[in-house]
Amino acid sequence: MLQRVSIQNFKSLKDVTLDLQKVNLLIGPNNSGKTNFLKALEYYKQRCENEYYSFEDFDRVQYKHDKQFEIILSLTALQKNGNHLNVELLLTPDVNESEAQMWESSPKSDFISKRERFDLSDNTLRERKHNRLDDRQIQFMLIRGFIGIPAIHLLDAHKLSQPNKLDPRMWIENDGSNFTSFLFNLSQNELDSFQEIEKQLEKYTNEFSKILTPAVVTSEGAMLRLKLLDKQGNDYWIDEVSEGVTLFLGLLCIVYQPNPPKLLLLEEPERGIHPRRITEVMNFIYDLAENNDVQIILTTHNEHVLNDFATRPEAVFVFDKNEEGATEVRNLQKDIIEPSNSRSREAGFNGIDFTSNLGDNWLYGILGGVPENL
Amino acid sequence: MKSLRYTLIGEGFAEYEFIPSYLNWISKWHGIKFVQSKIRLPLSRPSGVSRVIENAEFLCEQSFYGTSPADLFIIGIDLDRADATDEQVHHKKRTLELEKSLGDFYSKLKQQIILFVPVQAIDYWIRYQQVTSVANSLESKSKDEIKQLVYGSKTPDRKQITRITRAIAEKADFDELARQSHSFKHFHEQVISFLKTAANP
Repeated sequence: MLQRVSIQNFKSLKDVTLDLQKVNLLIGPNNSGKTNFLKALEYYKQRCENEYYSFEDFDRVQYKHDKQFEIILSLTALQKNGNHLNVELLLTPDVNESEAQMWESSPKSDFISKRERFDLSDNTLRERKHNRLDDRQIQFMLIRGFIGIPAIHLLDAHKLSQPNKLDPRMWIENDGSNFTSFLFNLSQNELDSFQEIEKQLEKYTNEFSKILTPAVVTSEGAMLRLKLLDKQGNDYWIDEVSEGVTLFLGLLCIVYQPNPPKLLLLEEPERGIHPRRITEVMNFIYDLAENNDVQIILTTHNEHVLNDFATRPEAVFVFDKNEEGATEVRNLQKDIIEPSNSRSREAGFNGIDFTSNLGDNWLYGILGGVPENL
Repeated sequence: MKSLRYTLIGEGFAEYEFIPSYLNWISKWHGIKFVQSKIRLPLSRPSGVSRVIENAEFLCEQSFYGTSPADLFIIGIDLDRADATDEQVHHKKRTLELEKSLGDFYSKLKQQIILFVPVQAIDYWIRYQQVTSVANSLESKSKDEIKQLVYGSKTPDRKQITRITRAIAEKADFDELARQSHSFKHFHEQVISFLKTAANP
């Protein structure tokens, strides 16, 4: 599990550090840098894979588009042996000067291993020869696979409901636009996963138990269209069921796809969900994290989602922009609740109850993470 | 220029236009700049007296000891009636109610807390600046009548209230208003007292 992410000079993130939990929530006004944080994690993967890397591209993601800034992405994960594995990408406009460093450290002692350095322009690190990887390649594989295959998912119930042409991809697009064809492929090639999705769908909706992807004729030709069967055998096209059910199914597909992400980045998963069903969505997300060993980072603009974190304020991160236009991130427990209570008690008062009405307190502006003058 | 951070808690949309304009006006005479904190009751709907009273103590504490501590806490509720008594008995009673809603914070931080209780409602302060009127003469008129006169409707929406209040407050003569309205004078004097200390500590 990723324990710490530090980012310097990536888009609006001049210098931020987040100590992550299993399920994390990012709140803040529009354009405060929440999505940039998620994009930085995607960018980490792209750079490790040496995908399209150009000076122009680099310039677009640098803080203030200023070429003097070096982007630094530092990640720390807890390993099974209790030690930390640390990876740092140092990225400059010149790919030949960009490198990855990896080292191990102990959170309980002074132990720090020697830093291994990898030249990111060295494509031999990624080339497989004679079906064997040398030791350096294996080490670099660790860096590349450090956070799995993170992708920002902004599931759109409308796109999830669209018929799809046959498409061999076995992964879900970020917006879920190949949802139906993906489910068809899964039913043909990964039956166990497909049946697990059906089982989970029935568990969470207590209504729908079967997924079908029949071919239908549309104005664009023959397409696959998604249909659900309830426990009595009644069938419903996906656009006839609620957006909540559609989004549940979308989340299940992300988690049960082949090579599922170890780190799931979800933007506003509550979209289209009735406020009273948000607790269900959050329970579902906690279950996904627990049962599938997935770490999850969510963004939200919804106070009901925030209320669900009342007992875990250490997992909430409040994003704001400072006067310079750089993103500042404060942890709700460590940077907001604890210092405020400390100030209140020093002044002879009883401390402040932040969490019993967390969503309202956010709207009152008490936590920060709200737009100016609104 | 010295900046002073303040939190404003009020009942309706007009308060959030009128009071900042007033603070902007008075700050110029004292060489300071008022900066409003982000703490406020959400403005998607008017708050009403009970919501202000219920949240007063908590918001006051948050304002002074929360994430960005403020120098000043301004809170107000409407009197919701006229007060023709010489001693302003009803106004005093309502002000006391507001003080009590702040718990220990009012007694310990009195110098940094400013209370406003417009007789009837803040719309009367606005009306005094719309037309020439005899001092303390408008408060006997009904709230509906004053709303109709100020906003052109007995039930103005947020947009109407905001637009008209802003236009009047930006050009208001607040010294004159303090002569016209007892309740505004009560508020104005507290601000002056605060500024004497805060601007020249």
